[in-house]
This record gives sequence, C-alpha cells and structure tokens, in this order.
Amino acid sequence: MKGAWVSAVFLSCWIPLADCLAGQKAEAMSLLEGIGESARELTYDGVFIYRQGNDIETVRIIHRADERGERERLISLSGAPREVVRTDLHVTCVNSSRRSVFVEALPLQSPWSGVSNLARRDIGDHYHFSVGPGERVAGRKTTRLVISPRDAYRYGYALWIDHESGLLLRSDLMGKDGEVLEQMLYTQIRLADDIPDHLLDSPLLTDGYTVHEPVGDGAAKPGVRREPQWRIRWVPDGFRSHQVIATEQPEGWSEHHLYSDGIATFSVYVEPLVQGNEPYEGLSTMGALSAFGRVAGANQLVVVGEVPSATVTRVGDSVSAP
Amino acid sequence: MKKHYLSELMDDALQGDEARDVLGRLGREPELLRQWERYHLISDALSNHLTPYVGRELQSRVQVAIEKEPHYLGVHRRPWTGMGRLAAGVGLAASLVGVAVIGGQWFKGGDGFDMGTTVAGLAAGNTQSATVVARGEVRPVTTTNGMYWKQVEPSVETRLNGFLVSHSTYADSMSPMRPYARVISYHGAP
Repeated sequence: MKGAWVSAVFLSCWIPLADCLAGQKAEAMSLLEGIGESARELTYDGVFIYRQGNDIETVRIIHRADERGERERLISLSGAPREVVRTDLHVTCVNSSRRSVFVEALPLQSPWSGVSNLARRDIGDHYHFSVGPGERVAGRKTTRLVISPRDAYRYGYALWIDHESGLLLRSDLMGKDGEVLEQMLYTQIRLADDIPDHLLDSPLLTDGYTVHEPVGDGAAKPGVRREPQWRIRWVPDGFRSHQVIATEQPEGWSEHHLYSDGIATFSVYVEPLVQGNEPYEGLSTMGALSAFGRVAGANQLVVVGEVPSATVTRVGDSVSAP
Repeated sequence: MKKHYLSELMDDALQGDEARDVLGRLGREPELLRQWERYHLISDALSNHLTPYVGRELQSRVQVAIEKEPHYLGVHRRPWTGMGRLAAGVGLAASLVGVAVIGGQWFKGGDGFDMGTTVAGLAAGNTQSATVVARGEVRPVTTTNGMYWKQVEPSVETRLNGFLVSHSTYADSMSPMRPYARVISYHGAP
C-alpha cells in the first residue's frame, strides 16, 4: 500500500514535469524555426558586435528579402575593410588587406529546407532546452533560449530572440565548462520595408585581387557527379548526413559530406592532394570552429565545423578510403 | 585601472589573468569601454584602416593632430605593433580631445543609418546592449589571441579558409549570419 502511495506521489510530480519539459522543447523548436525564417525572410539593417577571444569586431549587416530574392551584405567597421556579399546564388568574401576574394556558389536548394524538422525530431536526446524571458537587446524585448548539450561532442548556446520579429539578437556559444567561446550581439537594428540596391553592392570588388577558386560543391562541373566513395564510420549520436556530393575537379574527384544534429554542423571534405600543395595535417581551432586534416593515400581529408576539437578529430580518424 | 593596460590589450601584450581582468572590467565600466573605443578609432585612423563609412575627414584630423605632436612622430614601429600604445598616447593628447567626441559622428553613413549611435553607444553605455555589458551579464569570452586559425602553417591557411567559406554556405541551420560573421572577422595570422 505504501509503495502505491509513493508511486502515486512520484507520478503526480513526474507527469507535470514531463509535460513541462515537453512544452519547453516544443517552444524551443518553434523559436529555432522562427530564427532561421526571420533572418532569411525579413529586411533589416543593423550593427552587431562579434567577439572571439580578445577580439571584438563591429559588423554592419544589411539584408533584403523580396520577390527578387535574398541579398545580404556584411561590412566590417573596424580594421582593414572586409566585406561579405551573399545572394541566392553566390557568396563573395573580400579582404582588402590580403587583396583576396573568395567566391563560393551556394547550393540551389538549401540542405535545411524540408529536413530541419526531421533533423530536430530527436534533438531532445542530445540537448536540454530552457526558455524564459531575456534582457532587452538593442532596445528590444527578447525571449532567452538556453541550449545545453548532453555530451562533449557539441557546444551549448544561449540565444536572445526578438519578441516582435523572431530575429536572433544575441548569441553566446559556450564550451563544455560554460565558458563563452564566441558571442554575437546586436547593438542596433532597424526593420525596413526596402533597402536600395546601392547599399547592397560592395565598393571593394575591384581589380587586382587574387580570386580563390571555390572548394567543395562550388568547384563542380555541372552534371559531372558520381556516388560518393568515402565512408564516414563514426559521427556523434544525433548527427545525420544532410548532403553528400561527389564532384569532378581538374585534379580528380572530390567529396563533400555535410552532417548536422539540427543545431551544430560539420563538413567532411576529401580532395585530391595537389602536387606542390603542402598537406594539411593535425588540428586547428578558431574560436568555436575546429578543423582537422590528414592525408589518406593521395587525398587530403579535412573536417571543419562548429563543434569541439574532439569531434572533428574522431570523425576525421573514422573516414575510410573506398 | 592604469590606462596602459588598455593599450597593452590592444597590442596583444596582455595575457592570462591580466587580460581576463581587463576584459571583465571593460564589461562593467562604461568609461573604460569608451576609452577602448577611442583607442580603436584612433588606431584605425593611424593605420589607414578607417572604412569609407567612417569618413576620411577623421583620418585627416588624426594625422594633423599627430603632426602637431612631434613627440609621436619619432615612434618606430612595425604595422600594428604598438598601435595601441600610440593610440593611447594620441588619445591622451590635448589636441585630440575632440576626436572622442566627434568620433561617433563620423560613423553616420551617407544613407542616414546612424552607426555612431552604435559604436559610440557601446562605448558610452547609452544603448541597451552596452547596459547589458555594463551590468557584467556578458561573461568574458575565453581568451585567445586574434581571429585566425591556430596551429596552421601559412601555406595551408588559405586553403583552410576556402573550406571555411564553403562550409559556411551550409552552416546556416540556426543563424545564417553567424558563419559569415566568422568569415568577415578573419584577420589572418600575425
């Protein structure tokens, strides 16, 4: 009889708790979906601070979305002039101090369209979610969403989301001990009906810059593809393959494998090792980004993503030759 | 706090606990933040790194101020090295007291978007974000030095950046701008 009472008390506490947790997860999912949609579908002009380590960058972002498509320009407001211009088709990154330009073709169909719900179906197995009121950011009311990982193979996030627009106004990316590895914070944002064309064109795109050829899918010859040959034998639980593309480049076949757990992403690139190029081997980090490289036969293998070093290293070690 | 700590932080000459301490205080003390922003503005002007959005007039005024202060012209330095110290020196010069005041105004772009409110606002603590910072609610970011790949040979760096840009085109599941914020903030190894 006593056991039955204990069970009843336990259940009476547990069921509301489970309901509450399920509610938090559903609300978190809804907020996450809204962040991406708002960032892509709204037109806005703002300035945000990006902090990594001791460095603070102030960046202006101008984003327009209308019947002509999506166009975005990011402008570094300190240091050497640097800009990123993104359209529906291309992203162009200009660094004036290095006189270099990276141009990358964007996938015609975002790998996230239509699959994010699938990817996030079991997201609760890998992250805890907590939703509550947030402080005002850039003068706007926010909701705060904290995403905590359940293992060491991914990072945690604290997100401040605009009540009115659903835009992400502040984001702290946290390591395993809760230390903030990377921080983005809007200081000013203006939602607009329209943005004139001239504000979306970069004056930095001039002659005399070194243009770096795209890597990955951007380098693909149209129509020249094949089934991927390389196998990734280990990824952390919850990461699913979102896209695998094998393309032919002048030096041979290359592959790009994209994985995500619905929050974090990493890519695995396998390319022919070009004669004269120094192989990239070992581990590198930049803030929250980790990269791991090794040589496999006559191929260069690179894993890069917004995940801890242990993740890219273990994934890279698991890649096996055809 | 002694002001030379700020200039040393700008020059990456401050490490470990000292760096963490200064960063923490930057988060709590609006006046220190203002000073930090002034140094950056002057440093950018000194190194011809002011963007077109800021305007060339500020740069000219900084140069004029330096010419009036022969003391600073004798400073020998490599590009960027010691820039914080130089900026600190110039920033403290009486002839440039106005720079900090006018600095924010130069950020007012031709399109009418008031960048001055943003940048100067952060420094002045008159925006909400700055208040958040000032309240110390922004935890100090883990200390690393510079936005560039660590443990990478220069010959590999460019290729690794190619992979970074490529991956960024896909890594927008949650926030499309985050990957490009990393790309645009990339400075390259010193």
